[in-house]
Amino acid sequence: MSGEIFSKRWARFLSSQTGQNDETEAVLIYAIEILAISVINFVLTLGLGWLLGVLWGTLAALLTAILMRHTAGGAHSSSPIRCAIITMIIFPALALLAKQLAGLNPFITDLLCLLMVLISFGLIWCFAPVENEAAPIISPQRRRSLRTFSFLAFFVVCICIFIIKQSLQPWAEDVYISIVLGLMWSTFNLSSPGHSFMLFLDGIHQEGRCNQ
Amino acid sequence: MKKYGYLLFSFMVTVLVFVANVASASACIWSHYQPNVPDSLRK
Repeated sequence: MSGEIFSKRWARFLSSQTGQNDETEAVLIYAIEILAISVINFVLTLGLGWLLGVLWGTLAALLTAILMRHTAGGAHSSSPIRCAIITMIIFPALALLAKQLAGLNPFITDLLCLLMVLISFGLIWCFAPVENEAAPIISPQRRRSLRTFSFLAFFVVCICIFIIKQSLQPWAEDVYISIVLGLMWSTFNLSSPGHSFMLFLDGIHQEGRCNQ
Repeated sequence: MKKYGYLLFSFMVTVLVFVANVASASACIWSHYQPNVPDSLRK
């Protein structure tokens, strides 16, 4: 049973039980799809991160991307299955990369992180918020709000990076670099190369198409 | 019993409508697939 049939079936059932109209049923389908996609992707991604021994780094990169994508948007895959595969691979991979970077000379690592944070800021400045066909931003006021919240989210992430960087805990180095990589990944998805990369990942499996 | 079922399903509908409204207020959902936002929630 595909995800779409599952969400439609549940929405139709809830609608018929509570006497909702077609408009509310469409909203219910949307909500069930979002919840199902989010829970499945979250669990699978953290599960793979745990298996690879980088659970905290994966969680840090994932939470950073969640915060940034909610406000700034970004490129999307055209299918929920490919989305799950991409999400499941990308975030543990970022955490593994963070683990490798944490083993380098601290000066080089800090310099790289600073560079990535600055590039991320530039990408937010140039592109945020990025809409897509499936979720267009119609109101100019909403566009302005999302742009403001994108910068706010960026500063929240920077504060988290700063606080974790000061920590003497053994996991702090991995986690702070994972946050920076999560930030870099989510802001890279705002740019044209990010959209092209997502289109490329989409095309690996079958004829893919990015939402934007 | 039927009354409790109605209350439970109504509660579920309320929660789901709330989730849909919150999600539609953000630029997109966090994962790499964005379902179509219903017309009534587009803003």
